[in-house]
Amino acid sequence: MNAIPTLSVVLASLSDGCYVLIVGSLLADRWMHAAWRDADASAKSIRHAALSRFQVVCLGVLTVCHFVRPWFVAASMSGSNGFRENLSLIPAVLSSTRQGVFWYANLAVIAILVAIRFGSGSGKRPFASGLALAALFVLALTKAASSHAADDGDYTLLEFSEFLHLMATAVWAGTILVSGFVIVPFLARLANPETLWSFGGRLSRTVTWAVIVLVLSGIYTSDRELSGSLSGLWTSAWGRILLLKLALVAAALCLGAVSRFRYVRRAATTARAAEFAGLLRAEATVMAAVLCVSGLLANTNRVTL
Amino acid sequence: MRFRILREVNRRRLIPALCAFTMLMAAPALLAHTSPVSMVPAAEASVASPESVVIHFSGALEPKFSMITVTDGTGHVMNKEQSVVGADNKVMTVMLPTLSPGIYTVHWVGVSVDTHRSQGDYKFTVK
Repeated sequence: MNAIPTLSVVLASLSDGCYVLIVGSLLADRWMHAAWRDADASAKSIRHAALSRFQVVCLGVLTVCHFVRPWFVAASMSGSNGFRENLSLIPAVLSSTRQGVFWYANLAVIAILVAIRFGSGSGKRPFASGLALAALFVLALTKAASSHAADDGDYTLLEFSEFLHLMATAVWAGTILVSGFVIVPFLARLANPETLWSFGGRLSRTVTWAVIVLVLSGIYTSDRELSGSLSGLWTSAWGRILLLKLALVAAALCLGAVSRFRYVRRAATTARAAEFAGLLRAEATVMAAVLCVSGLLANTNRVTL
Repeated sequence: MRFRILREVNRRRLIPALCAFTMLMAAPALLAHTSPVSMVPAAEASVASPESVVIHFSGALEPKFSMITVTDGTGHVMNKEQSVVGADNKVMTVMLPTLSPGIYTVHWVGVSVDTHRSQGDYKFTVK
């Protein structure tokens, strides 16, 4: 059995997951900083230190994935399973393909992220996180430019739409995952409900905009790309994975709607804070499943509809 | 109370949910493999000795890893030069010497810019 496609899916999912988590942790850190003005300094610094360690781990995994990726690109392009053969093709991949050009660009972005992570003092945190987010925007741009969306050339609306799609996904999934599993349980336990509501309001507003961007970019892309019968949705493995993803996203949207309309828009109380934290954790769990299914879908051959 | 929440969710999130469906439909389209949309000579065509085989693909190709080879009935490779990819990265051409009458097989490999590899064969006849 050929394990390379499976390993390639795992690598891509790991890399995308870390990317999403870094975006989410940077945004969540900024919101927590703004929402928790009255907290005592020691509690804040404990949380910031935990988030920093979290970002370092994600950045580390992202870097490892980046250096391993050329071998898998060579394997995919050559159709060979031979370790040495694909190793010998790496220089050709890096020097002669579009993936190679963007590999170098992404390497520069990762170097900038590492420099920001280890080089910025606590006093420069807002500026540093803004710069890191800008670098992550560039990473999404190169990802869009090396995807199938670039088939019609560069600087096209389709490529731009794909870029927006990637960024909106990272913002939506990343902030929900980091907030649901890391920030909100912590705030619900240690901060007053108003602080949690302030954080929840920022999260809710940002996620709403991210979903709007996802929808608009999706509508444009579907208008460009889709035609014909939808029967492939239930007659192929690809279609069934897509339907599973659809169900999970619908569940995440419903949980997000309940969070927003049932909790964040109502008065903050201690009881509601605990329920809100539980709901967000459930949404984050669903979001983690969405990312896993997305990784699988991205590496499953599309059927011709 | 639970039903009231569900009603609220259904009412307020119906449009985003429908849009999410569209969004999800769109995403996989970005993952398609590139494949031939037209070939000259066409599959199963019967033609006079062609100067070249030209294949138009649905998406951009990686020239370094994409190729066309033409073989005769005994498996001998007929093209003396390697195939080349045009400026728009969607058309691949291989020049051919004068072919004697017989059945020839075109084997193509198309590697898209998103790294996916597809390949196939087709035959044409020289009269």
